[in-house]
Amino acid sequence: MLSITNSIVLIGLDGYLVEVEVDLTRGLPKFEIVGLPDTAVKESKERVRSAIKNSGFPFPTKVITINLAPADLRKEGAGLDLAIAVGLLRASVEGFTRDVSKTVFIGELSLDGSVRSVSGVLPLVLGAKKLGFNTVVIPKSNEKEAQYVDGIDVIAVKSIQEVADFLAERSYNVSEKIEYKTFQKKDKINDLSFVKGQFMAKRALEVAVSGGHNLIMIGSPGSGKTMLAKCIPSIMPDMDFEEALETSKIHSVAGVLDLEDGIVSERPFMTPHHSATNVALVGGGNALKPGLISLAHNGVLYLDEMPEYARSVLECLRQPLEDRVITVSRAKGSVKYPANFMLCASMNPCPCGNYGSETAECRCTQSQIKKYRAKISGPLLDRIDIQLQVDNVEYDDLVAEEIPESSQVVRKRVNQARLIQRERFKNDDILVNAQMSEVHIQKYCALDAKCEEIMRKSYESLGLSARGRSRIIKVARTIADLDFSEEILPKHLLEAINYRSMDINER
Amino acid sequence: MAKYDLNDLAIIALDNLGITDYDKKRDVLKLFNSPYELLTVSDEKLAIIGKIIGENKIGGLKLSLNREYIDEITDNLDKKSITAITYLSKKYPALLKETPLAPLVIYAKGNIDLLNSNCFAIVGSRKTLPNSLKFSENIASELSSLGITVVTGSADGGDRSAILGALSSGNIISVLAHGHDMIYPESNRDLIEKVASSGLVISEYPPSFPARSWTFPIRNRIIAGLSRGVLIISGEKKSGARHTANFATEYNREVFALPYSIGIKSGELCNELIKNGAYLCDSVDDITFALGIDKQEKEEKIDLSVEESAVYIAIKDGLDSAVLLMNKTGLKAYEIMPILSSLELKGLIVKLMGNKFKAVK
Repeated sequence: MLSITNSIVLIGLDGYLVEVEVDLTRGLPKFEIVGLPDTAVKESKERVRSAIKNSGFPFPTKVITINLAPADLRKEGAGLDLAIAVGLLRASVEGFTRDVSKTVFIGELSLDGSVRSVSGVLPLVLGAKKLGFNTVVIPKSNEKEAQYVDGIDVIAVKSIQEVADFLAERSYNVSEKIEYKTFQKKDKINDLSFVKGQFMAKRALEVAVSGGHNLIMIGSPGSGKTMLAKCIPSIMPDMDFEEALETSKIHSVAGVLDLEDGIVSERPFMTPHHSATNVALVGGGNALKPGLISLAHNGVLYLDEMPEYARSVLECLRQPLEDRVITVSRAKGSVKYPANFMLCASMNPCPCGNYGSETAECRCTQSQIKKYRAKISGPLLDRIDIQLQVDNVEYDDLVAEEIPESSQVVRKRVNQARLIQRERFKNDDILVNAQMSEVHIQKYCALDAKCEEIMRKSYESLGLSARGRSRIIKVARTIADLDFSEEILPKHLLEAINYRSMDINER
Repeated sequence: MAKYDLNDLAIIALDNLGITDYDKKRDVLKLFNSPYELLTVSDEKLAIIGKIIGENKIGGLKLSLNREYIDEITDNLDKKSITAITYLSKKYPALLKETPLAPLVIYAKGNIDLLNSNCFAIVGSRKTLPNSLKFSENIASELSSLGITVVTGSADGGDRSAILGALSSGNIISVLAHGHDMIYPESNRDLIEKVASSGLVISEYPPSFPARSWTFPIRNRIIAGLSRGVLIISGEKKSGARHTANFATEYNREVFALPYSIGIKSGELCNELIKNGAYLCDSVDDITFALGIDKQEKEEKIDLSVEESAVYIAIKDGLDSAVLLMNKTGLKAYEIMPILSSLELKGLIVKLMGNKFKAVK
């Protein structure tokens, strides 16, 4: 007796069809799984056996051969349990008449016959839809994320019993679809209205988010860099469904998706600890999992105390910052994960934090300070458009009664600036000013004589380095967009010059 | 005419022996009527010299009094375009020669005529605040354009700012605390090379002599000795600038210091000097007046918009943080930032760490 059941495995974010072929023949009872299974898949025979028995079905006392086709595709994880069990049931028990040629089964089994959640259900369901299936059977606890996928029937099951009901065409429920809308899960803790003072830094955040510019904040300890950074997602435009789906897919694969929500609707804010390794950051490892930069896709990657990170970890960021995807290549294969994040970093002016302070004494030697700053290499700094100094907050600022602008007000302006950019770049395959190449700069950022004069002067008297030039122009373009100005005016350029504090040669 | 006469060669040979004690070298030379006699020294004299410089150095001395060996030294100096100026040379700075402990030899690279020009020293600590740096740069630039040679060291901070200010005019002497090959800090090598090409870099040590912690304070006697006056830009209580000020007082040079408000670490030395009678210097006029240098009044007119001058005046009133300035002028962050940049470009203010602003004019 032969039965074929469909399931799907993930490689990266893409789903690949796996046909579970079950064959029963007479002979000394034996249970064999072939077709390049990994350990977790091999172990599934123990789980399947107990689950079927404990659900009240007979377990066939025959030679059981299970082939996972195609044989050259590596199968990992416990997600194939359910498909194997279904194949066995259909091969051995009478009455399961439903046609399952257009149905996919995903789920891990527990010994008592219940179906456990698996990671990556969202990309699996999307993959099933793409492969032309019309029904997908998934664990009940993963129901939420699948409900956002249109055009495929989702049947969420808690146990083998429920699957049996479905197979026997008795009773089953098709989950309702959920319309995507953004929701703020947490109370609004991180809002610009709670940040006292820091007007220049807040303005810089607004500019950075409007133009998609990466950002580094330089300031003494306790000046509020982290608090400012945490507010960035609150002023970013809401994620649309496509963006939310992309991000949720990655979170689902990594197994960090909130099963209650089922979708990531707030822009992610990732803060790796400075002991993070290359693999943790860019992805890889045994299962080629996405790294933190991919989890920060469409959101913010915040590196607190940037010079404390290992040099090699920081240099890993260069390519994804440029290409906005990361290709993780290992012996096992290579996987592409999107990594379109806004980099936000912070650092102290020197190792002890008091450099340049009038009152506190800096105990660092000149070479210590230089070494500290040199940790962030030139090429990396080249990818950070905005380098801003954070004020030392005065006590008076903290107790000021005036309530600063809320994030919502700022976000409105950001949205408008983004709209202008989208209009401008509609034929250019880029979205924001930060992505402009030299060609775009020539096309959209013409400087008049007065602006050129300012640029020239800034090199002479402030000692700006030459490679800062295009960065300044890009930022000036964003500032002009925030001002609804077609041309870049001197005041826009002058403001942009303010944001290059790391470029200014030490004098 | 040969570049060096026999006297010069004898002194150079002695100086390249690696004796760091100044007194010993001088005592050796005192044994002779003229230094060239050292080249043909008798064995009895050598025994006396041995008592001064140590017996173990005698072998080395004998070898280095060989004419070929001395030629090798001078050839090597020529190759590095370094001129050795001994205290007997006409080129030796007259002002420095009057001081006790004037170096036997000055190894100079660049425009050696500057040694006998009208010199004024500007020194400061490495951790000088940006506004003081800007001030010292301005002073150095103005003095050097008046034909005064600015004398300073080679370190970051105060020294560097003085060099930057005076570099374009070429009226600059940088005094090293080590040989010409051993630039410290290494990061300033480019700058020192620029000084050598437009101005002058000098050292009392042979080219391969490395920097030691004790060479810096005694180097400062040359800075003070060369100059008619010394301006101390900044300095903590314990700072190398204090040595320069002490030497200057000892040599009867005028001492100027930049005033600081209370509580600023890098200004403690300056305030103490003023308390003890140094000139308070907050403009180049203080220096030119005290030294009797003619200075044409040139009216600098800088165009400022209404808002720019409002912000500038507020900064001059001592409002230094962006928040205070915004409160005072009623401008928003995005309005005040271009103005601050513009004022900075016009050289009227400087930006300190943590978005603080200080007027420098």
